[in-house]
Amino acid sequence: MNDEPLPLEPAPILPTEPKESIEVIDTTKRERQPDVLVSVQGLDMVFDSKQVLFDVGFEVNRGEIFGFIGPNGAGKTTTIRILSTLLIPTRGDLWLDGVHVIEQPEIIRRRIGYMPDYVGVYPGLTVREYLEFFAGAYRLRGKQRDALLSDVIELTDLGKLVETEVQVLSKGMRQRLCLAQTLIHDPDLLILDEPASGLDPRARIEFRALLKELRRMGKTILLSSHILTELSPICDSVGIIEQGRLIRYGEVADILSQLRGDRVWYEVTLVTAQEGILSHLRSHPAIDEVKLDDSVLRFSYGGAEEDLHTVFAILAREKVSFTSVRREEGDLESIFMSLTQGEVS
Amino acid sequence: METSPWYQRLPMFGNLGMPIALKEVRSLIRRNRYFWSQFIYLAFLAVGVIIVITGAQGTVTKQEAVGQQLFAWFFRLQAFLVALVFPAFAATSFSSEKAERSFELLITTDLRPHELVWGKFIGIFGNCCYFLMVTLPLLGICILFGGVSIWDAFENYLLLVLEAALLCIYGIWVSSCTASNLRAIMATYAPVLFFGFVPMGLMQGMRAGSGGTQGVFSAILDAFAGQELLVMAIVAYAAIGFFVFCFVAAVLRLSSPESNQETPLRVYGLIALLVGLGLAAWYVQSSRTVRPGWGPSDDIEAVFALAMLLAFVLPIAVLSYSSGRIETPLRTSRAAGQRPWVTRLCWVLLPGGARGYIFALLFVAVAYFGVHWIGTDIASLSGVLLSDAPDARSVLAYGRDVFGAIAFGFVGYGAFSFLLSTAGVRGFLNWAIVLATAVLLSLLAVVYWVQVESEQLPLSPLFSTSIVVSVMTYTQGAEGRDWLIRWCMVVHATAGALCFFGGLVVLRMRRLPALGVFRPGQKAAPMPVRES
Repeated sequence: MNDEPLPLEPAPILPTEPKESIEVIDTTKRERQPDVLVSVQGLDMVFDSKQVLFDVGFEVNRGEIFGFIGPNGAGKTTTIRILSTLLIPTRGDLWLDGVHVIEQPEIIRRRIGYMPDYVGVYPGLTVREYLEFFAGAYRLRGKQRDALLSDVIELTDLGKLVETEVQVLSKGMRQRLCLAQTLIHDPDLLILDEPASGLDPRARIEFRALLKELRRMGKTILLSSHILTELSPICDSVGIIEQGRLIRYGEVADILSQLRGDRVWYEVTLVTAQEGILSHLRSHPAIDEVKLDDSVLRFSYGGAEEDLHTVFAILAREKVSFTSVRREEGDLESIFMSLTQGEVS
Repeated sequence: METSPWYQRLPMFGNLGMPIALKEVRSLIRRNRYFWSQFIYLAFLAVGVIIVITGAQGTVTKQEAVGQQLFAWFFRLQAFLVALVFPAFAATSFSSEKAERSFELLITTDLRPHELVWGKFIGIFGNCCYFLMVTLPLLGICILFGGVSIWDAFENYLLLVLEAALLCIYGIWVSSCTASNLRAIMATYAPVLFFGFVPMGLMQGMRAGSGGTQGVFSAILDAFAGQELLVMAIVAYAAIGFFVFCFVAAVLRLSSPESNQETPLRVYGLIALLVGLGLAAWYVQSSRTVRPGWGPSDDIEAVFALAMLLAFVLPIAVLSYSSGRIETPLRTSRAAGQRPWVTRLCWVLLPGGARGYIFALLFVAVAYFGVHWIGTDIASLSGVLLSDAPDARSVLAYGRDVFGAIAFGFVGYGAFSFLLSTAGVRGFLNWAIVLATAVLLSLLAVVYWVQVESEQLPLSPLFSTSIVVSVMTYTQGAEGRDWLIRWCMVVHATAGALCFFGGLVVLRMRRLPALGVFRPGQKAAPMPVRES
C-alpha cells in the first residue's frame, strides 16, 4: 500500500534549505539592466518526486563568457535546458534582456543559440543544406540569408566541407557545424552545453579559439563543462553548482580572492627534506600553515610581499638549501576543489 | 535582424513549414531504403497486374471485362500497399528526431509547433503522392483493356490520396507522442491493421460464407440506402474530423503548456460533437422521408445508437487525452501546479493505474444500474407520449442491456489496461493495445456468433452500424438472445478480475505499491530486508 501522497504537487518534496523570500513578478517583462543579459532567480526543479535544482540564481553580463561548472549530475544541463525553453521549472523566474523566458519562449528562441551536449544531425543533408534549413527555420530569406550563411561558414571554417554530407563529418566538425547552426540567426546569447566533450586536444584548442573570437565579436556565451582546464583560460565569470545548488558564482578573480583571502601559498623545492625547519617557519608571524611533503615545502603567507625575504632569511639561517620557489596562482581547479565535495544530487 | 514579411509571421500561415518540408523530402529520398521501398511497391503492383491478366485471359472472354477486373484489383492491391508502406514514413517523423537528439535543436528554432507538424506532413505526404504517381504507367495498362473511364481512375486515385493523407497525419501524431521509433511504428500499425486489414479480410472471407454473414455487412449499407449525399457527408465528416484531430493533437504535444494550445482541441471537440449530432438529426429526418414505415420507435432506436457510440467513444477519448497530458515531456509539475485539480483528475483517469480500474467500476455502476432503474420509468413515460409504446419499451430494454454489456466491457478492458501498465506499457501504447484488443475480440465474437447463428438474422439496420464500435455482438443478442449478453458480461467480469489480480501479482513481484499511480521512470521501493 502506498501511503505517500501523489507526487504531483509542485511544492518541494525533498527538504530544502531555508531561503530568503523571493519577489514574485507577474509581468512578463521587467526593467532592463544595461549590463545584465541573463538573470535567473530562485530556480527549483523537481523530476519525478526528486528535486534536482534548489533555488539556483545567477546573472550573466553582456559580452562575457560565463562558465557553468560542476560534476556530472550536478544540475548544469537541467539549468541550461530551462534557459533554452526546453523545460519548465517547478519554480523560479528567468529573464533574457528583460523578457521572461517561461512566459515568452517564442521571443527567447529567436534570441538564443542553443547547442546541446550531443549533436544530432540529419542524415542525407549536406553541410550547406543543413545550415540552409536552420536559416529557413529562423525565417531568414534572400540576400540576408546568403550573407549570414557565408559569414558563419567562414567563421567556423567549414568552407571546404559545404558539399559534404553531415553524417560523415568527424565529431569536431559536427561540433563546428552545430556552433554554426547556433550562430545562423545572429543570437544575443549562445548557450553551449558541454561543447568540447569528446573532442581531441587539437579540436578543443581550436574550439576555444573560436569562442574567444565570438567574445571579441561581442557575443555573450554561457557554457557548461566539467573539464576545468577547458574553461579556465576563457571564462570571465563562473557559477559552480553541486547537488543542484549554486554554491558560488562571480568573476574568477573575485572568487579566488574570496577563497584565499589575503593569503598566498608558496612552494619551495628543497635539496633535502628537513623536518626541523617547520617549527622555525611556524614561529613567523605572517605564516599560518606549513606542510612538508618529501622535499617540497609549502607555506601560506599573509604578510606584505616586500617582507617575504624574512621567510627566506629563516631558511638561510637554518642552512636549508633549495632549488626553486614558486608562488601558487589560483585557478578554476583550485576553486572547484576547495568548494565542492564531489557528490551528485 | 531583418525578418520575413508580416503575412508570413501570422500564426496560421508562417512559412507553411516549407523549410522542414524540404528537409524532410531531402532526407527521405536520399536514403537507400527509399529506393528499395519504391521498387518493392512497384514490383508488387506489377506482379499483381500480371497475375490478374494471365488469370483473366483463361476465364473471361470480353476484353472490357478483363479491363474492369484488372482495374478493380489494381486499386484494391494499391489500397493494401498504401496501408502497408506509407505509415512507415510518418511513424518515425518525430520519434526519430527525438531518438537522434536533433529534436531539441528543432524546437528551439523559430518554427511554431503547427509549422513543424504541417511541414512534416507536407514532406511525407508529398513523397507518398510521388509513390502514387509512379504507378500511373501501370494504370495505363489497365485502361488499355477498356471498360473503365478516366473519371473512374481519378475517383479511385482520389480515395488513395485521401487514405495516404489520413495515414500520414495519424503516423505524425503517434510519432509526436513517443521518443521510441519501435513504439511509434507499433502504435501506428496496430490500428491500421485492426481497423483496416481485419475487417477487410473478414468481409472478403464472408463473401464466400453464409448468407447471414453477408447480411450483417450489407445491412450497414442498407441502413443508408437512398441517402448517398448523407453517406458522402458522413465520410467527409469522418475524414476531415480525423485529420483535424490528429493535426491538433500533434501540435498540442509539441507545444509548451504555457501557450494554452488546448483551446483548439476543445473547439475541435465542440464542433465535432455539434456536426455529429447534426448528421444524426439529418439521418433521422431524411429516414422519415426515404424509408417507409419509419416511426417514433425508430427515432428512439437512432438516439440509442448514437448514445451507445458516445458511451463507447467518449471514455476512450478521455482516457487517451489524460494519458497524453501526463506524458508530454514539456509538461512538468509547474503546469500542474497552476491547475492541480485538472492534473489530479487526469491521474485518476489515467489508464494504467489502479485508480483507472476503479473508474471503470464506477462507470459500470452508473451505466448499468442507472440505466436499469431509470430505464423502466423512461419506457413508461414514452408509452404515454408515443403511440407505439410496446416498441419503445422493448427498444429501451435492449438499450439498457447493451449499456450494461459495454459497462462490463470496461471492467474487462480497464483491468487489462491495468495489467499492461504493471508490465511497463503505459500511456498511448497502453491505450492503443487495449483498443486494438477490444476491436479484435469483438470481430472474433462476431465471426463466432455468425457461425453459430447462420440462419436468417432479424437485423435492425441502425444497430448493425454499431459494429464499428464493437457493440454489435451485444445488440444482435439483445433481440431474443439474452444468453449472449449474459455470457459476455460474465466473460468480461471474469477476465477483468483475472487481469486485476494478475496485475497485483506483477506489482508485488516488481515491489511497486498496489494502489499508487505509476509515473514513467518511477523507481521501485527498496527490497525489505528480512532478518535472519
